This record gives sequence, C-alpha cells and structure tokens, in this order.
Amino acid sequence: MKTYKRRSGRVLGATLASLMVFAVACGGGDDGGSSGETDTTEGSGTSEAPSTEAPEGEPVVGGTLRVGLEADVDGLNPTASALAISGLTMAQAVFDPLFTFTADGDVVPYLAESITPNADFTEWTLKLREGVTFHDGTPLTVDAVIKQFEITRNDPLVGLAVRPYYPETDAVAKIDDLTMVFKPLEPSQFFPSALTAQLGYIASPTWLDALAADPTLEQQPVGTGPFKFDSRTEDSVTKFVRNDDWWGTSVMGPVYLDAIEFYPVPDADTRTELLLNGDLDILHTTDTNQFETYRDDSSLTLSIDDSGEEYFLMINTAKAPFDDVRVRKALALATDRQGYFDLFNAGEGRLADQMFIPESPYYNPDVVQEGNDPEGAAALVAEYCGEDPTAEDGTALCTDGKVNMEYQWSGPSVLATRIADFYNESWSGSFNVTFDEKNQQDHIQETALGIYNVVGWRQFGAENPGDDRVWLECRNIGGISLNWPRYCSEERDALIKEIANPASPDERAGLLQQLVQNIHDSYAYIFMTHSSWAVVNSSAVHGMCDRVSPGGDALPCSTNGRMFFSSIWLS
Amino acid sequence: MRYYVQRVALAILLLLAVSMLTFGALNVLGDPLFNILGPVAGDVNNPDSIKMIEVAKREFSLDRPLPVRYAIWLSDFVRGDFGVTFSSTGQPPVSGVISERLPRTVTLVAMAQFFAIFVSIPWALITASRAGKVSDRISTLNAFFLVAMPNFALAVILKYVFSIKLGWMPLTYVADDPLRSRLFQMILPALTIGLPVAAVYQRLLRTDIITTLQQDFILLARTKGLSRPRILLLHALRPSLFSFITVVGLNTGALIGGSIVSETVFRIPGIGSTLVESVLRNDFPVVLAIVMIVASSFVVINLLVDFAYTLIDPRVRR
Amino acid sequence: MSSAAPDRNEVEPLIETVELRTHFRTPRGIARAVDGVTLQIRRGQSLGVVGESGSGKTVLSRSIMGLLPRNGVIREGSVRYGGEEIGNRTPKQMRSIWGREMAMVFQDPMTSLNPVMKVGKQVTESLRLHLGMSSSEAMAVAEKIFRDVRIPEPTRRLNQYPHELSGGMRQRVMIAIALACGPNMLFADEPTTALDVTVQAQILDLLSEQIRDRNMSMLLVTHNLGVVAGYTDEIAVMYGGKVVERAPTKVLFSNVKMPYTEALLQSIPRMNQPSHSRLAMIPGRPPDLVNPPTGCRFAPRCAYARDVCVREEPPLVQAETPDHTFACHFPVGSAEYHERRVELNRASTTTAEVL
Repeated sequence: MKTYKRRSGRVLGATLASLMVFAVACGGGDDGGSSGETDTTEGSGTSEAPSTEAPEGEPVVGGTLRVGLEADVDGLNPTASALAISGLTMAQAVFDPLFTFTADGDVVPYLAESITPNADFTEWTLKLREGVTFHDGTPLTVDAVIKQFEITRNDPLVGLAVRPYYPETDAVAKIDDLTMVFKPLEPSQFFPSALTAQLGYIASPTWLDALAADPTLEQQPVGTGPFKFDSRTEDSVTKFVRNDDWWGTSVMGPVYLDAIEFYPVPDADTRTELLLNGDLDILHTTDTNQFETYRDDSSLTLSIDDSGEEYFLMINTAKAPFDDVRVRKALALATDRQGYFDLFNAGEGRLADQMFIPESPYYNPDVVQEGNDPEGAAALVAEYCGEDPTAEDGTALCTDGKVNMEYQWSGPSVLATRIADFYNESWSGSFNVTFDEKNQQDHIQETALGIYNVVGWRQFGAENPGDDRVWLECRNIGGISLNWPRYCSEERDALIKEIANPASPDERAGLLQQLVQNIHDSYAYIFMTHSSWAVVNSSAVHGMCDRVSPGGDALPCSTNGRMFFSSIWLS
Repeated sequence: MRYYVQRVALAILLLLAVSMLTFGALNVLGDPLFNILGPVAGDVNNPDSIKMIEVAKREFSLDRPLPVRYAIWLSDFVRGDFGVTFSSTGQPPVSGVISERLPRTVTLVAMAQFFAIFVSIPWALITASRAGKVSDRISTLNAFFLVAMPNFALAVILKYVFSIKLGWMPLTYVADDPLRSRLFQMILPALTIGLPVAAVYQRLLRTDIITTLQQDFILLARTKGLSRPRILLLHALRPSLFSFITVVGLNTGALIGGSIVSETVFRIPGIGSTLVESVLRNDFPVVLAIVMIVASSFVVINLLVDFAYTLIDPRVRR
Repeated sequence: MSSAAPDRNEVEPLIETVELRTHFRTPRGIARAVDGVTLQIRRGQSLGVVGESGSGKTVLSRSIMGLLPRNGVIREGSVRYGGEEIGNRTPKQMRSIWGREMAMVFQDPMTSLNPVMKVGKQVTESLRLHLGMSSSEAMAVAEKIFRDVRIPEPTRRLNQYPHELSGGMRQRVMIAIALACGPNMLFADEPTTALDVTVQAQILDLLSEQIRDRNMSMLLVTHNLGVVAGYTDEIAVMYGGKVVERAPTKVLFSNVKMPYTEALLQSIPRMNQPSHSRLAMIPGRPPDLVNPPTGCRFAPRCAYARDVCVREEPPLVQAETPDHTFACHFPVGSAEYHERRVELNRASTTTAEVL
C-alpha cells in the first residue's frame, strides 16, 4: 500500500536522542492521552522475565503477532526518521543493529561479527558477518555501513547529535568489503554502544539510493532483520512478514512468527481495550493509570521498567535570574515534589533523586534532590533580591521581594496546564511565575535556542550512561544547544572523558557517582520522577525472554518499552 | 439554465475568495520553516543554519512575495497539483496525502449523512404523527441530549457500550482490512457524527411534517381511506422536505467537522486528523488543500441541494 | 331534482344521525359545535345543510364521516350508515368505508390537492387501494372518470401537477377523486365557494348530474341557500349547532318558518356578486358555542324575538306542510310576526326619511 511520510516536530527531540541510543520525550504533559510524567514501583535495569510465567512447552511456528504502539512513525529510515520507542520497536524487527545490549548491560556484536579497538581506543576496527544479504538481495558490506553513516551525519536534523563526535573527514574508512575503521574524535572504551540503535540499524544501500530519488520509499524499509516489510498504512497498520532467509536463524534459532502487525493507538485506554478484547497480543504504555487494570487481569503479563528516562524541571542557566545558582537552588527548594508525586502519579512509580534508579550500580546514595522547603527558598530569594539585581536591559529581576520567572510548557493540554498550576502554587511564595504556554514547535525551538526560564522535560537513562554526555558537555552549547540548560562545567567535561576510559568497572561506577553529584550541584535540573514503561502481553505470547545474542548471551525481554520479536511465538 | 450558470460562477468566486483568505492567513500566522528544518529554522546567528534556511526558502519558494506564491499555488492547484508538503524532503506531494486519505473521510461523511437522513426521517415521521404525546416528548428530550452532547463524548459512549460492553462492534478502524470489515468498522464513527445531526434534522422535519399534516390535502388523503403510515410517507413527507434538504446541505460542514473527532477516536487515517496535525505543524499546503476540498464539496453539495428542490417540488421547475 | 318516490319513503335511510353531539374541548370550555342533530338521508337523495360560518355545518359533515380527531373531541349520539352503527368506530375501522363508500369534496381545490403529486396518481390511489387495481387499470379508470367530469385532454391531465391546472379544473379533479371508487355517499363541503362565480354553476351541475347518474346520496354543506336551491331534495338549516328548520327544498322556499331562514334567503348573493359578500345582511354575530344564549339561540339577533324567546328554547315542531319541521315561538306568518313586521317597516321608513 502506498503511503507517505510526514514529519512532526514533536518527536524531534526523540530523533536526536535515539541516535545516541536513548529516547527522550520532551516537556511535561505533551503525551496527549497518556499521563505523561509518571513512573512506577518495581524498577530494575532491564525488565526481567515475569515470575508468573509457567513452563511454556514447545515453540510453535506460525501466527501473526498484533502489537499496540503508542504512536506511529513518520518513516522508517534510520538515516532521517524520528525513531522514538515505537519507531525503534518497529525498526528492530526489520533492521539488525550492529551491536546490542545484553540483559547484563554489556554491549555484544549482533550484525557485526566483532569490533577491535586500538590501544588508546581512538580507532575501532569493525568486522561484518559474511554472507548476510538485505531483503532486496543486496549483500551486506561495509559500504552500506559507511554510506549510512555519512547520510546520517549530513542530515540537518539527525546529524545534530552525530557531527560533534566525529572529525569532518576520515571518520570512517573501508579496509575491505567486510572490514572498516571508525575514528571518533575522542577515545572511548564504550564506543560500540553508539551502534546499538538508530546509527547501528543498517539499511540496504540500494534502498538508500532509491530514497534519494523518492523519499516516500522510507515508508517501506529494507534491512537485514528477521522480518521484512509487507505493507503499511500510516496511522493505521504496518505489517511485516517473516524473513525466511534471515542470517540469524543459524546462530540464534528460528523465527516463529509468520508476521507482525503494528497498530499505533495513541489513546492509552483504547490500546488497553484492544488488548483486553483480543484485538492485540502485546502493547507498551507509559500510562500508569492502566497498570492496575493489567495486574487485575490474570491472563495478562505485565513488566514494568523505570530504568530509562527521568522527568525533571530544567532551568536555563544562561539567562537571568537563573544564571545565579542561589535562584536555581531556591526554585528546587520551593518545589513541592512530594505533592506532585501524590497528585499526579496515582500510586505508581517513584520519586527521582538523580538520573539513576537505586538499583543501578551508578546510583549515588548521597545525592538527594532537595524540595519541599519553602522557608529555605524564601531565605535564598531574600538574599538575592536584596542585591536589587537587574537584567541586561535594565529591568528588575525581582518584584516585591520575589523573583520574576517564566514557566514554559507545550500545549494545549489539560494535564500540562494542571501541572503548571500546581507548580505555580508551590513556587508563588518566592517567585512571580508567568505562564508561557507554547505550541509544540515553538516549545522545542525555544528550548533548543535557550529562550526560556524553566520547562518540564524528560531525558537521561541511556543504557550506556556515558552516552548521556550529549546533554551535558560544554561543546553542545551553541545556537542550538543539546545541553539545554546551557550549563558548562570543565570539571564535568573532564569527568565525562574519564568515564569513557576508566581503569576498571569500579572506577567507572565511582566516576559516574561523581557525575551525579556534579549534576546535582549545578541545580540545572530538579529531578521529579523516574518514568515507567510497561510492556503487557496476553497469555498467548511466549518466548519474549528467550532471545540470545549470536554469542549466546541472554538479551533483555524488553527495554524501556522497546519490544523485540525474533524469539516470540504464539500458542 | 442562466440561473445555474450564475450559481456556478458565484461558487467559483466564492472558492477563490476562500483560497485567498486561507492562503494569506496561513502565511501571516505561522512559520513553516520549523517543519522543514526543525530548530535550525530559529538558529539565526549561526552561518551554517542561515545557509540551510536560505536553501530551504528557495526550495519551497518562501522567498517570493506572497501574491506571486499565491499565483503559483493557484495555477498548480487548478491543474490538480496541490504542491509539496512542508517537510525536510518536501515529500509526499500533497495530492498523494489527499488521494490516500480523502476516500476514507468521504466514506465516513457519506455514511454519517446516510445514517443522519435515514434515522431522522422515520424518527420525524413517527414523532410528528404523535406530536404532543409522551413518546414525542421523550424523543424531544433525546434529540436535545444528542445535539447538546459533544462529539467526543458520544464517541466514547458509543465505543464503551457497543464495542467494550456488548462487543458487537470493532473498537477501531484498520486500513488494511477487507472492504466489508472496513465499512463495518466505520459504523460507530459514522453514528458518532451522524446521530447529533440526525437529531437536528429530526427537530426540523418533525415541525414541518406537523405543519403539513394540518393541510387540506392530508384530510383529502384520509377521506380516500389511506392508512396513516401511507399518508405520512406518500403525502406528508415530500412536501415537508424543503428546509430539510437545505439543512442537509448546510450540515455537510458540521459532518466534516465532526469527522475530525471521530477519526481520532476510532483511528481512521482520514483528512480530518491530517488537517489538525497539519495546522499544528504549519504545513500550509496540506491545510490549504483540505480547506479547498471541504469548501468545494460544500459549494457543490449546496448546488445539488438547489437542484434537489426541483426534484421534490414540481412548482419550482422550469 | 326532487324525485322522492313514495315507496322510497319506506326504505331505510342510507345515513341517519340521532341526537348527534360533537363537542370540542377548548381552553375556554366546551364548545358545542354540533348539539343534538337528528337527520336522515335516503339513498339517492341530497340534503343541503345551510348556515353561517360557525353554525356547525362543516363539523356536522366531518363528524358523520368520522374524520374529526379523537383528541379533545367528544362525540355522542348515533350515526348509522346503511343501518349499521358507525358512530363509535375508530378511524382505522372507518378506513374501509372512506373512499369506497363515502367520499368528500372540499372547499378549496387550491389547497386540497397534494401539490407534489401528479393528479393521476391522486385519483388512482384509492382505486388501487380499495379495488386492488393495477396501476394501468387504475389509470384507465381514472381517465374515464376524468372524461365523466368533463376534463378535456384527460390523458395529458393525468400526468400534470395541480399547479398546472385552473381552479375549476382542480375542483373537477377533486370530484373525480371522490367519485373514483363509486361511493354511495358524497359529502360536499362548500364545493364552489373558492371558485369564480362563472364556474360555480358548472361544478354544481356536474355534481348533481353525477349524483343522479350514479344513484348516490349527497350531503351538501353551504352557507348559500341559493346554491342548494336547485340541487338538493331537502334542506336543513343550522344555527348554533342545532337544526332550526328542515323541509323539502321546494317547501322551504315557498313556506319559510324560521326568521333565521328567512334572513338567509334574503342574503342569497346574486350570481354577479363577488362570492365573499357573505351574510352581511344579518346583524350581530353567530352565537358563542361555549356559552350559548339561553332560550332560542337566534333570539339575540332576531328582530321578531320576544321575552319568551330568551327564556325558553323553542321545540322542533311540525309545520302544516309535510316533512317540514322548525324551532320557533313566533314563526313567519304568525300573528306576532306580522305585528312586529309592521313596526319594523314603519321604523325603516322613518330612518329613510331622516337620511
């Protein structure tokens, strides 16, 4: 079926982020139907095999798996499309990543056969598997990888997150058909994690060439994956069928499903009803209000994962009055975190103190997010306003002893407006808050360009925490700043460098804990909650957790709402 | 004949005015560059970004004066080329978006109109013949309830009752299903927008039928020994249809408006949901094309309504 | 067309009402539109019902036919058709009689034909319903009836809409509709009032001719005594919901008893006068049907009324002429009538002198 691509500004942040292996949904309350920034209880690194699962018997070949997604994608072109969780889920059925994370959090080869660094981790020699072909019959060679890398890097949008980390020339070099070298700007022991998602989903070069002439083809992806494209109607259904020539069959076992149908259903209630009705077999959701329903139904299996993004308030440190750390700290102290949690989280999820959940080896127990201290806030504000500060253009930054500020969010959204009212209430003791509701485009643009005081935001939680550097480094401050708060700390940049090349895992954990402390001390973020993803499946779905890597390592059942299909079978 | 030539000429003028207004308003009110370039569009201090902005402006003719752009758009439009979408690639062509999605919306609106007409006529006949009785009063209440209820609320209620509780109807629309299932899946969405309109039709038609029933020719029909249903259908209905068909024509707009909600709730990828998205994204060519299609169909339907008068009342003919 | 053969008198009447009352519930109270009317029409006979507007004549005809709505209407007394009681039948039960046994011709052919239906269809409708004819059979019959009622070019007319026909032609169509199934009983409610004076006579001639040819009975309702004069066997004069005088047509015109009837006679419009100059000559207004005056209902407007007229309602009494009844204390020709007559003449002369 012929369909067409549309690009929406909403997922732009996600585009940039997913390239760096993690996903971000920007801003509080812009998820429409689902209750945006909520999180959950039972958290852990990657979701584990649900304990209720009974012995499943022999896998059966056949059947069509119907998957409910929270959104549709604009296209499935790894070099240009905005791939958020839904997009990554669909992409990994049709593409194979060069590398993948194991259930233990290690990066292991997948479509790649191996990767070898030089002594100082500045050059990485990648070897591809032999004899792999794309769905269109094109053989897999490093030309495909190089072509994809260059196209991605030159894309005005998705290239934003790639360009800063590679030299302008000679970033990649071909050695032979199956061997090539990556030369990132800076040494990193964890370089392969950059090739586990969008940048690593290798697409057919024939198809990429055809795309240049007819961009509508990006609705019909051609990869090497366990499933191949069959048909797609935007905003309705996308169908993939089994790739009987999949290279992985010989190393990782057979693909059981005949086909997968993806149904983007933005309304979380409807998605749930479709599952309960038997119209879907599996879905993902961030709507914590639904979790209880899933628990109540014994025929459903629920797994929750809050190891991914955090929801926080983000402060523009480049703009008065928040260029003064006392004001940032005052805002944190004034914020009623507990009240927010009680009011908007419906008994699910947990408050966040930092970018790691307590189960994480990098969690820093000494770092506690302040809040619920209006007196402390008042004291700091009194001190600041006592100095009678003025902005560059001479306007007073304080009025009646309170700091003037703007809170921006993306609307129109009832939930986001309620949240804004809530914040205003807790801040009004020390701040004169002006509401600044923007449409999504302007919200993203003004955040990227630093035209804001305070916004609600969601990010962090990369599987390799070092990859979160893109949000944190000084170099990403500029016209468009991925370092949204525009907070530059040389000490932090040095830490990030060390984290990429630690002497031991223990040292790395220690360094990350220091990073957590550094982020806290900047008062550029007020951490609120850990965002939860739930994956729910019916009792007919089996084998989600039977996935292994080509090397035999156990792979996660799902990751922050991303689902994988190569091992699933239906009873 | 001359009358129709005049009507058609007037309709064309009207459409021109609509297109001019829409074109002007869209281009004054929003900045399409973001949709093409993302945040780069606002990064006006960076030479690289400025270069990209200029290229994009040239590519999408955004550097030309507004009247020139309108003229280009118009000459393309009348030749069936609705332009390119404001995305980074300029793809897909707007005509592609429209031709894929329009048939679904047309089906939905046609089905809704069908339901509205074929629910309202028997409803009006029955209540008119029992005017003032308890059943008529209950029906009046129901009608006001339907009219007053927002579309999305009705959508949710219908979905809850018929899909979730009773399980008679599918929850959502699936574009790849066979035609018969798709038509079946359209029933609830069509009822969602059709029922409130049916209530409006019913109120109007009921009043007109009651007026007609006072006429002498109805009494004459009774003295012929015709049964009540026969009198209602053969004698009272047709002369009562004048304001009804006028309102049917005018309500096509309301139905298209309702389709936006219905398409969202029932996941129908039609032009209603595209319109909303495109407005939010400042994707003007798509908005413009949809506005023009809606306006044209509105004009055409009301021309048809004019023509329908002559079918219903021989006195208007000539 | 008086042809009451003596043996016919023995025959049971086709239509008979006994003490028929038809009252309407109104916000002001109960309006006694028909208040105890007893009459008979024999087969082949025509009865003219005459009275001012508001006298109850139209309600009487519709009440006999059972056409009135059931809501807010009280109907008492007996209506018999061919010896069978039909006064208590529902409209549903009446349906087999309507069109087939009884038909009605209405006053205004402009509004009484369905404007959006070809006249042919309007004629054939009852033929197909009652006689089960096919469409083409019914059309053939309709064409014949059109010829009978002297509609020129009947084939073409059948395919025309009412607005394409003249008023007289439409009334002929309406008569054709009424005659279609060959009913026994025809109700004609002011069938010529809305027509040009020149066509009125044609239509009445046509009606009486058809009645005679088809041996039908007719109840002709009119405010114009002149209309009934040549076309009915008998006349019943109504006032305030009651029959106040009843006589064979010839008798009535030669021997009027009720001063009201006399006044009506004097008010007969000439054929060359506009049809709407109705009963302008009777001073005063028709009685209030909700609160009718005591005694004789005409008394307040009657030049010959005396105290007893206001006190006591006059009974219906037999006149010296046969089949002639009336309700008046001082009928035309009585001593009191003459006495008052002289006074009146004197008064009017005086007035004339003053003027």
